[in-house]
Amino acid sequence: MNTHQPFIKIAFYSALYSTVLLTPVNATTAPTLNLFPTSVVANLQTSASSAEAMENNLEHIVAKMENQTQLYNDSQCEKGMADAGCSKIKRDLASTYTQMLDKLSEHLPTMKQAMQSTIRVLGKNIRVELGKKMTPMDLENLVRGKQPTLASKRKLSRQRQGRMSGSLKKFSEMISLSKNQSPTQALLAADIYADAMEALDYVDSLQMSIDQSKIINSIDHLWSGEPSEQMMTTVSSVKALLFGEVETDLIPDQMDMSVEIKNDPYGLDSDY
Amino acid sequence: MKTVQLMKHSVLGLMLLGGLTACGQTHKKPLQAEAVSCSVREQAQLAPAIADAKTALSHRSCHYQFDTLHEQLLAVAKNDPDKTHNTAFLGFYTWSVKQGIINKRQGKELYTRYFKTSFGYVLSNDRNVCGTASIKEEMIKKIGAELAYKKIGLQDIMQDRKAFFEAGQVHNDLVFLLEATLLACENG
Repeated sequence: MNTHQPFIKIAFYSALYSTVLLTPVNATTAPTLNLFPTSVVANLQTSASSAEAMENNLEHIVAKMENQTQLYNDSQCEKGMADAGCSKIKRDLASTYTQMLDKLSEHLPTMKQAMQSTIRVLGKNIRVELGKKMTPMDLENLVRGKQPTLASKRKLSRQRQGRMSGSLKKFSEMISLSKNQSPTQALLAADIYADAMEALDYVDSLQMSIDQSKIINSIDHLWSGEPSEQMMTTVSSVKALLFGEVETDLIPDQMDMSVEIKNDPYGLDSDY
Repeated sequence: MKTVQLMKHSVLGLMLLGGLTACGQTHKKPLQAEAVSCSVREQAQLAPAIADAKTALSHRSCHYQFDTLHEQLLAVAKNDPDKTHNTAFLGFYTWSVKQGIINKRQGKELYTRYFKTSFGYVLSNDRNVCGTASIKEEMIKKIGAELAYKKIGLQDIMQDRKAFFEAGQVHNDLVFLLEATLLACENG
C-alpha cells in the first residue's frame, strides 16, 4: 500500500501542474465565453416570428400608403384644392394610416418585450464576459482570431441590412454555428445587442407616434387626412424597423505578400 | 641647501605649468569639433537613405533628431515602395536600439505602428474594458490614428493591400466591440 503512495502523489501533482500550467495558455489563445444562454435564442425566435408577422401585415399597407401619398402630391392636393377627388384621397390616406397604426399596436408589445429581454440578458453577459473579465488588449486578441469571412463593416449606430425577420433568423442560426468560436461569438453578441438597442429605439418612437396619432384622430376636426410630417416619420420608422437598408461591403483584391522577417535580435517583430 | 630649494621650486613650477597646459587643452577640444549634418540627403532609394541616417545618428549630437530622420526615411520609402521595406526599417530600428538612441520598447512601438496589423501598444492592458469608459473617446481616436500610420507603412511603403485591409478589419471589429461592450457597461 505504502509503495503505491508516491506514484499516486506523482500522478496527482503531475495532473495538477499540467492543469495549472496549461490552462492559462489555452485561456489566452481561445478564451471560453458564456454569451448566449438559451433564453437569448428563444427571444430572438419570438422577435423573428413577431417581425415576420408585422412584415407580412404591413408590407402592402405601407405600399398602399406610398401610392396614395404619390397620388395626393400628383393631384396637387397640398395646394389647398378642395375638390371631391382630393377629399377622397385624404379620407383613403387617413384610413390606411389608421390601419397601419392598428397593426403596429397589435404586434409591437410582443416585439418590445422580446427586445428588452434580449438587451437585458445579452447586455449582462457582454458586461461580465467582455467588459469585466477582459482588457482592451484582450478584445484585440479576440477579434484577431476571427474567421476572415465574417463581415467587418460594423458601426454601433447603423442601418440594418435587409428585413428584420431575416436578420433575427440569421442571428439565431449564427449563434448555433458560432459555438466554440469565441471571436465570432463576441462580435455576434455585440451585433445582436446593437441591433436590439436600435430596434427598441424604433419601437419606442413608433409607440409614441401611435399614441400621438390616436389623440389627434380622437379629436376629429384636428386632422382631415392630409399627409403630415409626423405621418411620414412614422412610415419611415416602420420601413427602417422592418425592411432596413441595403449596404455593400468593399472587398479588396487578394495579393500575395508574405515577407519573412529575419535578423530581429530585440524581438521588435513579436506581438505585445 | 640652496640647491635643494632651487630644485623644489623648479619642480613646483613645472607641475603648475603642466597643469595649466592640460586645462587649456581640455577647453580647446569642443572648439575644434566639426559641424554635423543631422539629416538625410535627398535620395531616391531607401537603402542609401538609411545609411545616411545611420551616419548622422552616429554623432551623439544628432540623437535628438531621431524623429525627424525617421520621418525623412518614411518619405523616401513612400516614393520607393517595396514589399520588403518592413525588413529594412526593422534593421534600422534594431540598429538604433543597439546604439542606445531609442529603447527597445520605442523600437517595438515604431515597428508595430507602421508595419504590423495589430494595435497592441495603444490599448490599455492594466484595467478591464468597463474601466476605460472615461477614456473611451481618446482610446478610439488613438486606434484611428494608428490605422493612419499603418496606411503609410503597409499600404504606401509596402504596397501590401491585403495586410492593410486586415488592419482595417481589426480596427473596425475592435472599435465596434469596444463601443458595444462599453454601452453594456454603461447600461449595467
